[in-house]
Amino acid sequence: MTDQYLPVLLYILIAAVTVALILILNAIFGPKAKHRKDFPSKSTPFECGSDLLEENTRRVSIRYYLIALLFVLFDLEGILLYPWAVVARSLGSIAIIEIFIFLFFLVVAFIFAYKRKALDWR
Amino acid sequence: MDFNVIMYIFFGIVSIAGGVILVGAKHPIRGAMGLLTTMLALAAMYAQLHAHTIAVFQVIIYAGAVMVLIVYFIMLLDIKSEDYAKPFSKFFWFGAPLLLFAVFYFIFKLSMVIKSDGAFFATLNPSLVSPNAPEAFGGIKIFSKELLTKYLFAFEFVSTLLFAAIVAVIAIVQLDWKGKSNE
Amino acid sequence: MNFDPIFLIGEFSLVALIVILTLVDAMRKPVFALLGSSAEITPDIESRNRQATWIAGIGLVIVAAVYFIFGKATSGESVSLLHDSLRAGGGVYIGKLAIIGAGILTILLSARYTMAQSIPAADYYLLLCFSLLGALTLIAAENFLMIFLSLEMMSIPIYALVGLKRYNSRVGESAIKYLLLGGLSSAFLLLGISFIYGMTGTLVVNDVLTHLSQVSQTVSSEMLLMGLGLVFIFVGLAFKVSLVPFHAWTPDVYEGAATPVTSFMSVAVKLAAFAVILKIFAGSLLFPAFDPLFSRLFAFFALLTIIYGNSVAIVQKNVKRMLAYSSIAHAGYMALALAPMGHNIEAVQAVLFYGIGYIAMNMLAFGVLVYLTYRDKYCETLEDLTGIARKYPGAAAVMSVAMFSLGGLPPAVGFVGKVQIFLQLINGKFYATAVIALLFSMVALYFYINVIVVMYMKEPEAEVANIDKKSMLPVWLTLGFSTLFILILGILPSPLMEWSLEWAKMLF
Repeated sequence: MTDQYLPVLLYILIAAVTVALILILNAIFGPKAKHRKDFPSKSTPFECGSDLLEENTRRVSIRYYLIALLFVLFDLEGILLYPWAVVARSLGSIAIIEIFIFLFFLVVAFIFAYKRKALDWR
Repeated sequence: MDFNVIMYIFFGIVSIAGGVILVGAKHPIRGAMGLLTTMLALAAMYAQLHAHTIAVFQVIIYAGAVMVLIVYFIMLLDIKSEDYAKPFSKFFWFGAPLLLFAVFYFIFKLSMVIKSDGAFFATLNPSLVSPNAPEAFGGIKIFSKELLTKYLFAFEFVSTLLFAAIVAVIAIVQLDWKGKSNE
Repeated sequence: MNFDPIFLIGEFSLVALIVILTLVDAMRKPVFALLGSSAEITPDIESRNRQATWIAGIGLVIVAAVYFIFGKATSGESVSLLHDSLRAGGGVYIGKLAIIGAGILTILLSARYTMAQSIPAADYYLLLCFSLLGALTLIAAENFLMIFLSLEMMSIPIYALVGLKRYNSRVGESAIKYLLLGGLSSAFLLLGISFIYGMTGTLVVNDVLTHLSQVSQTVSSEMLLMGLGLVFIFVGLAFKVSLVPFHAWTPDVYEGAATPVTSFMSVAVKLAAFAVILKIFAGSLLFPAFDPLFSRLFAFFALLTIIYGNSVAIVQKNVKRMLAYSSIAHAGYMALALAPMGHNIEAVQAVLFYGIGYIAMNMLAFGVLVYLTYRDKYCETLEDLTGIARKYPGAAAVMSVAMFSLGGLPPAVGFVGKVQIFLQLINGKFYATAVIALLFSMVALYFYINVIVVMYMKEPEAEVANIDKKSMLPVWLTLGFSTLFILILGILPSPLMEWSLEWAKMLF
């Protein structure tokens, strides 16, 4: 049964080998540092190589957090629709009632979020 | 030993290593990557146990949505390197060996009991899934069938729970609330 | 599907109330503007708050009435609903009424708090109703999945309720503390459930208990792993009822949260979590493999809790913090009766009796703190209480009743509860435990009596501030009801004993 995961394992192996190869080549040919302090960019949050445009010390709007949290919550709701879709036909008419009860609360919550301007970007 | 069992143990070790990286890393993104490792290794373990649906959910929800959330917050907070480069508290060097000792002592005790109680473990199936498990166990079809019949109330209850969580998030943020605290 | 909706009438009507409250608030315009609006400053927000308060208050009374009338039919025989998701009917009827009652008392206490502009009232009451819903399904839950989901349903809204006034840094601290430790406790609970599920292959509590009864008495890996699962479940629930050493969040959270929220979480959450502990452990204590271990475990933790809670409460200057430590100690008293509960149903009854009585006592104590609100600042410290008896004799009198009851003096309901618990301990031959616990409840009398002394016998340093008495009418309803409850059931405890026996029969 788990044989079907062999391609995934192969994929992981190829990825691991590629990464290891890049790192090894980098260590051989790249500049060498004794300490991390020699590369200040190594301790920036994303280590992306380019310098920060500005020191981000100002506070960001709480809306960013709100959007992210609502995304996760609605994502969960979406995930739970998937099992329903698989068996909806075999369960028959009761499945319609079940999913309407489920979606009813989702819709009420959505109306609440919408009317509170949680999805408004201004 | 079965190849599946070896892989199961391997992924178990990987997930613990990810957890150690998460706690030990002094760099938030590295910690997040450790967490991602743990989540993916857990998904692999679920797949080994034939819980395919749960494995997929683990990848979509945790490795997908929750990791996006965490990386996004690290980006927004932009913690300065000085803050996370702080050394561990001196209690760490006291507590960590104590914890390790407790864990190993427990494992040791458990293994002693298991040794003396071999009969019970002989009844367990050495492979990861019980031979009594139905065909297509852990697949999306059988999972959904159970979820929407046997655990129907829990399914509906989860939608109310998510509703509560949405209300809680919006209540904390208080977007269109002009009234400030009067203290 | 064998399912009679009458058994879940309380939950359904509460969900209907939640939906109505959400949709009415979503209209953003005062629908019931007629209900006593004095629209002067920011009419929009204030009238919306007023409206939400009214809807929540009246709605919850209707829910209670509907459940009281229609649920009565279900109080005879309990049935298992929806593939063993919930066990409804029977004695749970009493428990659900007690929890809805705690919700109504909380709404009465918070009416003034929410009618002001400082927080969105609709959100506040929605969260309160969600938490109530979680508590209702928690005490009725029949399998571990529902126990976990209901526990989350009960806790998540309270994390938000604690942090609702987030402009205050102390509030933020308490909310994040509660959230993190609550998450940790949920993780422990889940770990325990997965151990149990792994060993038994079932989530239904009764089936698990059947499996447990077959575990042999000798040390075996089966017993070890199941016992480990039970211990983790106990740890997860002990966080919720704040037993030492899982109490660390309690004082800070109780102090940081608004006083009405504190009163709700100190009674409803505690009662519901204790009902679950009883449901899982009252059965498993019957089995020889677990009885000695768990009896000793409960007795040990309960004693630790009583000693810690009562000794630390003595030095508190802040009444809310003192009540937090006293609530830790009371969790200890309830946990004391868990030790002998494997042997008799009366011990389970004693816990439930104490839990229901505790709703009234704590509501009364926190209600007085809400009543003594000076200039939008809650009465919190002993100084605020100093010498109030002359100016507010009523408040001082009911506070004394609460302190008598919490201290376990007659004729209050707390006395009867404590006597029952100690009787059970003696019946179960836990003599040393009983003596130590009794000693420390004597110690506890010091700080309860101290409040009365401060109120009656000390002169206030500054003049006692005036209270807006008119807005305190709902608070008086709570105070009056709780006082009557404490005194009547303190003198004639038999009805409450019968109710808690009914409930105990279902858990046992």
